[in-house]
Amino acid sequence: MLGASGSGKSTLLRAIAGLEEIAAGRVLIGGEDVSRLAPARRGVAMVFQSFALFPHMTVERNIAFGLRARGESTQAVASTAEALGLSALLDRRPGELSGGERQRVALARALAARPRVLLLDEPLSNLDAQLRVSTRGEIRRVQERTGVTTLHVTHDQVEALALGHRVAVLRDGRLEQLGTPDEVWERPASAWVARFVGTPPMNLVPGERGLCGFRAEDAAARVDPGGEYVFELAERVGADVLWHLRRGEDLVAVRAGGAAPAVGERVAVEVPEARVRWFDRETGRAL
Amino acid sequence: MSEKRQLALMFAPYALGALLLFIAPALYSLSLSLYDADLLTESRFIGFGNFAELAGDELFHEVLWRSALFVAIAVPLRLFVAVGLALLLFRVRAGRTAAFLPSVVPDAAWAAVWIFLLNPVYGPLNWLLGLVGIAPVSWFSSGWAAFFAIILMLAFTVGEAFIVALAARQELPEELYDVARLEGARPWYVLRAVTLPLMAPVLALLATRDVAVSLQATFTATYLLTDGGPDRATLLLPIYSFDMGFELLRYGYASAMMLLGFLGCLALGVAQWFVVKRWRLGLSH
Amino acid sequence: MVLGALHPPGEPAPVGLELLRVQPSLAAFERAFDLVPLGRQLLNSLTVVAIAVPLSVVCASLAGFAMTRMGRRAHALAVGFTLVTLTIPVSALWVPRFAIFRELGVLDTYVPLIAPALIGTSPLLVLLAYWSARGLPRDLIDAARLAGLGPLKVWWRIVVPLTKRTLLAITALSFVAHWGNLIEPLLYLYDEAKATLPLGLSSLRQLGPTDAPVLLAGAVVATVPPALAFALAQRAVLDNTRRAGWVRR
Repeated sequence: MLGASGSGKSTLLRAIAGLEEIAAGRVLIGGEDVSRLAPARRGVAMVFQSFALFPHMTVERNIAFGLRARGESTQAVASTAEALGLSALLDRRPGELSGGERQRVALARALAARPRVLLLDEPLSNLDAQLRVSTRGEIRRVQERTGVTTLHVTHDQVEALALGHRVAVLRDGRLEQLGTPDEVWERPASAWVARFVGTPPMNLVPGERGLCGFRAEDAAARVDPGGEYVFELAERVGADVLWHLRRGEDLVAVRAGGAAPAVGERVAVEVPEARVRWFDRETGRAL
Repeated sequence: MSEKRQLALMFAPYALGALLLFIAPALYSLSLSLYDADLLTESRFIGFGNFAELAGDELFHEVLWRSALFVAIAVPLRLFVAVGLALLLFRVRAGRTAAFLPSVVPDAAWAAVWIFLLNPVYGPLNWLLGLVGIAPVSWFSSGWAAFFAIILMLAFTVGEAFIVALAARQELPEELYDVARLEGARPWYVLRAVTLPLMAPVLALLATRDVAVSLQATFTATYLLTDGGPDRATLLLPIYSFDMGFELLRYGYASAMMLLGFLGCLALGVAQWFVVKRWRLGLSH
Repeated sequence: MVLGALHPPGEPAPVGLELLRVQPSLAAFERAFDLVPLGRQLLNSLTVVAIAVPLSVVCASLAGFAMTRMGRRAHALAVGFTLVTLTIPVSALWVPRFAIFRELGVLDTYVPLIAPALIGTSPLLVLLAYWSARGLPRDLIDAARLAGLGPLKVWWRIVVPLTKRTLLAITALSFVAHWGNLIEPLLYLYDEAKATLPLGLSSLRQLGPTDAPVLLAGAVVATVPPALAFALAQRAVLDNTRRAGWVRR
């Protein structure tokens, strides 16, 4: 679930878990209506943004918390810890662990109860950039190994597209689009999704059929005295160089090679017809 | 004026107060306890004479044991009330005012109320006991009754501990309780496994402080209600040392006595701290 | 307390539900004011709190903020000392305090009653001020320092306005503590004309120990001012103390 902060994605996650009451609608898990069930009876487990580990308990006690609370056997703890590479840390306390280790403990605790649905609330946002990428891979591997249905909430579109089999884009509490990462990338349902997903965002300029959208990497730019655009600046983003161009009020970014022109020089931009997306000028919906 | 100087100036009133009200009195008390002093005539140095006398003073031993018994009953009771109320009213605003209200009433007025409540003839407490078939208790003429009346009366004035416990509970991250709900932990389990261990440092501080506070509070109660009686049953350290110092003018002896009480409180505090620390670190698997 | 005080004095005291069947009478109050100069004592108590409470709040807030800005060791010492004083029974210090105030020649004045204001009435209130000052964003204080404000100005312009709720709570708690103080007037005041209200209640107890309505009338008179002070500040004392910034985040 992808959305900006305040879009309601955490609220939705908490509603699914039963931590938040729902005023209308239903929550279905595996076709079963769980809307009236207590959180603990829904078969969901959750990893919180802050990890929510009990600071006074060892790793082992943290992972076994739910099992002990319900008076169940704690046999599964060892194998869960093993699977997440925590076996050597079982006697430590959260305060003695690194951010990534805490994250894995939180994940282990959630998995120990063998939930039907795993809810992850921005689990990567408290990690530094390096760790984020490796932990992202870890989450994906765990999901594939256990096969548990996982709802992962994030505000980071890269994370959403990298992890999700399906991506739900939320805006102001409403579902803007639901689709595979490819669909969201290739066929954004609205101009808003087009701008929200992608770095840089999809270019949108007025055209004859509405708003004309195209991605930076789909366009070709070359210096041309008759071009419509004026060159403003060049910017290196990883392997690519982006040219920022202006046409009247509209700004676009285009991936380009070769030496950058002088500021103010005219540039022509071409986009293959198949790569152009059209959006309604009023509603912003895809046409 | 430099930043350092300004900061020193801002801290100065507190430092002066600490010197005047704690440090100087503590040191003075140390020296006074070594003298036979009535503060009227010349004091006479007697070394550890006061302490030697205390060791043989049977009345003092009696007062000490009674005070220890009082603390052993009153402190857990008061903490139970304060922390219980704080945990009950943590999510509810209503009722907090009522919980704090007895602590707003001046001690002397609170004592007046209890003089009325406990009156053996017309007191509402005996009337209530009568309703459930318990014979009237003569609160002020029976020793144990008076002792427990004092404890009962002080079980309500726990406003300070209540708000500190309330604040401490509010500090605990809500997400830990979300986890407990998702995992289906029962309220008792959450209380035992999560809330109390996490509040342990604050509880230790409150317990240590309440040894001093509750003992202190017995002064007004005993001074106005029972005057230590009947038959010395409510003669506790504060009123005994007050009488010794300010009625009998044996200031040196009173100082020695209070010094022992002070050291006792300090030792208790340290002991409590270590117990809680062990518990919190889970060394007692 | 209130019901009992509204019964007329001198008659057999109400038993059980008779307490509720009251024909309100202020006779008990008149009798209480006749027996003991409660009006005078009310004024004396008000005089003491009028000086001691504002002084307590200022001293507690200044010290609390200063503690957040000290060097490591001074900070540890100040906070540690404050925590230790919390666990000391004040009764252990009555005798030496009395002797010191006598040396200073301030017995039978209000000085010993007001002196605790220097430590914010109770060290606990200093800790409250310290915790709330520590809860303020450090960047905010640093920005003010860069703008050239000294600690005193930072305190006045930033700390005081932003910790208002805590200061209000401290005001109420300090008021309640000073107002209810019985032991200190008992130790330090001899002149009847200077007596404060708790002393009045104490003599009321000795003069009319059997007349419940009179004693309760005195108790009502003594309870109204702190109850009012508390009512005005109760949101600050009892509401979400997290927002009031009482305890460190």
